[in-house]
Order: sequence, then C-alpha cells, then structure tokens
Amino acid sequence: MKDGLKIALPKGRLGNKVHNILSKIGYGYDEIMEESRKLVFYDNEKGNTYFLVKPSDVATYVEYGAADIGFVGRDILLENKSNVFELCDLGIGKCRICIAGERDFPYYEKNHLKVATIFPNISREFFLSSGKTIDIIPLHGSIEIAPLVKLSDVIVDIVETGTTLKENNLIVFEEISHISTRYIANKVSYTYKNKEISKIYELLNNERGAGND
Amino acid sequence: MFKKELFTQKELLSFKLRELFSSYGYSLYKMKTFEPYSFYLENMDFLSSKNILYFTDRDGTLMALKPDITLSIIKNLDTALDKHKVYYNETVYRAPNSTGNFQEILQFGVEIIGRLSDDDMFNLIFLAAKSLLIIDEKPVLIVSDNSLSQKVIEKAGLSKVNGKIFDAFQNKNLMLLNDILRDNYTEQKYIDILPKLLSLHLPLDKGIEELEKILDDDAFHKNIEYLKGLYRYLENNNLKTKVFLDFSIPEGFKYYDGLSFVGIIPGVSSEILRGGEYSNLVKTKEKSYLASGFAIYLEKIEDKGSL
Repeated sequence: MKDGLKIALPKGRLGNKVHNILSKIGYGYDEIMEESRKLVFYDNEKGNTYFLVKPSDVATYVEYGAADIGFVGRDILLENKSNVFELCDLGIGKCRICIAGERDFPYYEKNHLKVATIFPNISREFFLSSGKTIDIIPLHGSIEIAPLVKLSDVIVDIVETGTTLKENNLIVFEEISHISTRYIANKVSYTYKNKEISKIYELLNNERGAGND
Repeated sequence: MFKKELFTQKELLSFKLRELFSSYGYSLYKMKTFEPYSFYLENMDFLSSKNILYFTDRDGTLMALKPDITLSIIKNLDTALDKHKVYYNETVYRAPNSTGNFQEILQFGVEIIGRLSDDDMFNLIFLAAKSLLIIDEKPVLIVSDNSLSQKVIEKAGLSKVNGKIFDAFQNKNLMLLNDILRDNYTEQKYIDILPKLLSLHLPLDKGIEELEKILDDDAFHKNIEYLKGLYRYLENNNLKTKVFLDFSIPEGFKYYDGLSFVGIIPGVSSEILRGGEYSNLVKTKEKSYLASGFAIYLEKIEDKGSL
C-alpha cells in the first residue's frame, strides 16, 4: 500500500462539489460518487485514501491527524477554532453567517439578547466585541423557528440566498462573516507530505484562476 | 542489573534524555509542590493554560499547585550567577483548553538563563534537535523568528492589528491576511512582504536565502545574520536533524521574543517539542540576562499513529 495522502471529504451536496473540483485537477476517485454506504475509499493507482465524513467533522479528522488534508466550510473552522493550516479558498459553498430576527424586533436598541444558534462560540465572540450581553440557546437545526415561537430574540445562522428568512418573515440585522469552502492541512503533514499538499494547493489555485468561481 | 523490559518506552526515553542533558552541563531542577498563586497571576500571559489549581494555605496565603516549571525556575534564580543551565522532569497540573478538565501532565524540559552568548542560545536549539533524534529517526525542527515578524509588522504600521496578523500566520491563512491588508493601510512593499513571509516553509539554509530576497531592508539585517549564525552552528556541529524555517508560529508562543521552534515526528499529529527565546521575561529579574528553553511532551508518543 502506497503512503499517499489521507483526504477527508464532506458527505452530501458540498462533498459532490468538492469532488468535481478534485476530478478536474486529477485527484478525483469515481467510486466516491457511486451510491453506496461505503465511507473509506483507497485509490490503488495514486495511493491516496479518501474518507467521507460529516461536514462539521472534517476539520477534527485533519487536526488530529487521521487525515492529512480536508475540505471544510469556514464556519466550522471559526466555530471550532480548529488548529489546522487554512491554505486556500475553493470559491464554493459561499454564504454568510448573519444575525436575523423578526422585522419589528428592536435589535439595535437592545443591550441584552436571547440568541438561538448552532454557532455558540462565533456568537459569543461577536457579541462580546459589540458590547451586547447574550444568553445562548443552542439548537441543531430549523433555527428560523426560534424567534417566531418566542424561544429567542434573534438567531445567528447561515444565510445563503435569504429565501428561508424571507418566507419566515425574518430580516438580517447584521452580518458576522463571509463563508466559503477551504482547503485545509494538518500542521505536521504539511511538513512531511509538503510536496503533494503544495501540488494540490497550486492546482486548486490554477483551477480557480481558470474560472471555477 | 538494568532490565530494559521493566520500563515503559516513556521512562526509557526519559533516561536517555536526562543523560543527554547532563552531558551538555545541565543539572536537574527540583520544584516545590506549592508556590504563591500571585506569582503566576502576574505572569499569566506566559502560561499556555490559564486554569490553575489553587488553595488558601493555613496562614491565609493563596498557593498554586505547580502549573508551570519555567516560571518557577525564573522566580528562584540566583542572580549572582552568570549562567543557569537546568533541566527538569516534573508533573504539572493544568486544564488544557481542549478538554476543560484538570490533568496531571509530565513536563520534561531544559532552560538556559543568564549572561549568554549567541553560541549558548544556538547550543540550546542544537540540544532540542538532538533530543528529537533520541525520540525518532526522522524528526524535523521548525524554527521561526518572532522578533523578525514583529519588526516587519511594526515597520508596516500594522501593530494595532498585530493579534489578527498573528492569527493569520498561525494558520497560514493567506485569505485572512489579505483581508487585513485590504482593510488597513500599509505601504505596497509590506503588502508584498507579509504574504511571502506567511507562506515561507523551506529548509533553514534555503529559507534564509529566500528571506534575504524578501527583506532587503537594513532594519532586518541583524535578524538574518543571527539566523545565519544558527545555521553555521548547526552545520559545524554536524546536526543530523532536518531544520526548516517557517513563520507560522503556533498558538501560545506570543511571549517568545526571539527565535522560537517546534519539533515534530512522523505519526504524531502535533508538535512533540516546543521552545524559544524569552529574554524579556527574565529581564525583570536581571537586566543583562537572556533566556531560552524548550519542553518535550513525552505523553504524545503514546498517540503515535500512522500519519
């Protein structure tokens, strides 16, 4: 078995987009795209191993060295303060982390807020610097409901097109950060497998330059 | 009779390292179990974990259960001496940020403090590299120069966003650095220099050559000459460990004010050795003193996987 790269890929829609880009730069592996429950794939020809993992776990696999490189949303890196090298932006999975709430909620006048979110760390850090105090209400999905049922005053959530907010009669009060998918590497692998990791970096940059945006 | 099989890998390594440090003139430092909490409170920036176990002693003094060895060594320095060369093998009690719970951690390290020459400082880095060779056959020592990166940031007029630049360097995050350079005014030459510095990752000799091309300003001459001195010292002493130059300084390195370094080995996902020059910290004790040291994290060897 060749000692190639161990690559953590996010499962689902984002994973498919990442795999399309990897295929274009010569690092794809077709079996990954086939319908199956298989999660680990070994490319005999190149010696690379691919893991399909939950998108929010990619950075953990890379940080702790189970994978050498991975592809992950910047929201996950910000929330977990992942100790990895964040090498380049793939220009896909673009969205924003925003503070949103009901149209008539007096957000700017309030000094204390109840915040429903899947991003407690990002929220705490942002409101600490803005001077507002908060109570965090941790949720794991359908965050938009929280202000509608008076569970929270506002939400901190990912906004892609804004359609879900609009349909639930919510508006964006503030934007915290722009998000996109990042190419990351384990800090030890970066030295021991630098040639391959840097090659992928160059190829990804060239691919973006060629109009992959 | 010495029976090797009666000892764990960690214990055997610890014996070999103690032998190495003694052969270079370092003596064993034994620390008191409890020291006044106020001392650690004053030097909180130096500690990698801010959580300390403390209690009120019977005379009312707040005491700490040893959270760090280096600070204890500095506190107990005899300033009549020109040079202190010590090593330690002690347990410390901290709550690492990753787990949140207090742990007993075996800390193994070396410190040199006093009126020191460049060769004294280089010798400590040499010793760090030699220690890595005892632990593994293919270690790499990665050296950075914090005083150089700080100087570049100051000359670029970006000191007010020092922390953010530090974050970008730490994770080789060029996107974040470009955002900072876009939002804060600096001269074009620093817009060119800083990304190159962030991306640099080369063997020490090649790295110094590259650094000379990136930084042609006289202000950085002294730093580059110092790095060249280090390279010559390691070469003259026939060092077999690979040494790289890289400015992505790891978290918790803010107090190092000169060269800093980490040691890595294949199969362990984070650094197994970390150290650097921290002369500013000992200047409060004695103005003419310089200091450098490193710690080895032997418990990480048990984590060795298949990286």
